[in-house]
Amino acid sequence: MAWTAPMTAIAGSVFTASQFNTFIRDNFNECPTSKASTPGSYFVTTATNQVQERFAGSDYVATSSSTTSTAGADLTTPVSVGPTVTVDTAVRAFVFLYCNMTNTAAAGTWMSYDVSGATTFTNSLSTSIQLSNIGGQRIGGVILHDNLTPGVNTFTAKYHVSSGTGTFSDRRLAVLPF
Amino acid sequence: MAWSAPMTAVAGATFTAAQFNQYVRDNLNQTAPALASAASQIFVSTGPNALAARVPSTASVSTTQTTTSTSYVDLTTPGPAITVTTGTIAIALYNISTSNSATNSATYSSVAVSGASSVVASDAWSLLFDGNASTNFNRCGAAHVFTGLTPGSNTFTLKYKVGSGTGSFSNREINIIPL
Repeated sequence: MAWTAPMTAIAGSVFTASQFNTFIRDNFNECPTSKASTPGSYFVTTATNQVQERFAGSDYVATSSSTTSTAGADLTTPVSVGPTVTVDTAVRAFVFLYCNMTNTAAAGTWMSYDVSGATTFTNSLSTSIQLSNIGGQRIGGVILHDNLTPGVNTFTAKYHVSSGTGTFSDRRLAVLPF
Repeated sequence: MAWSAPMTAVAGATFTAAQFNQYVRDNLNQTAPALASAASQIFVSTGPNALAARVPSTASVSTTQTTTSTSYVDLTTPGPAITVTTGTIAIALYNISTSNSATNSATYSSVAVSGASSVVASDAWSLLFDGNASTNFNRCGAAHVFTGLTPGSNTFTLKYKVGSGTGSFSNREINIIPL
């Protein structure tokens, strides 16, 4: 049952079982303590007077793989998808990207992400990390994605270059949903 | 009304309307569901037995702009900046794409705080790129936990400088988790 603004008791009136169930039982059942199910979770609001348990997600792919794609795509040499994280979100989530990147040319290399499921979002430059360097370096970034469609959303890393061959390894993606 | 430590019932005693209002109504009104006013809020403590809802926020400026300043300044389009209500702590996470007109010349991006608090941008929490070929853009992020803030309305603004040369900054993003 949903939250109901607690009643104001009046001296001399009878406190009924129905009132107890509505204002005490059901309201306590909406509190984080009642909803806590698993260690490591946290609580966020989903609407007015509504809180929900959330779980952070993380995925790591150590595989070194390359692409020559100039638009965000899965890695191809060898074929290597992800990392990929699926979590329940409201409209916002922090997306953490980390990767070791190098390029055969002094050209741009990008790691970004697509969102699928409740939301359809295609990777972009503004939601990416980027290096323009031949030598490999490992960098990271955190993006607050704030226009998700509430529900189950899957975040999948995508990669591209401006030219040359980009090689990506030690790839990590984490999501902290709100 | 504020939270009151729940009373201890005594067998045979009358549970009064005033007690109900103080220990049930008013305490329930201090719990997270009662304080939740929109989606995607988090809850933080503001003191003993006190919670407040906070909203993780983001702001961005995509435009590529430049500076030759060797001390932290605004670009032609200042920021991005976020104004939020915080307690004494806030987490800032920021991402910027930068390049420099000169090879092996540094670009710096950092965060200043104004409003209830006054904190100047510092190298200590800057995002720094150096040692790159000229005009090559790189984009990554940094994070800093601001402590010792004055509780209230605080504005977090990205600032920029270079070691030398002309620094270019684009896809500038700042995110704040107010605690």
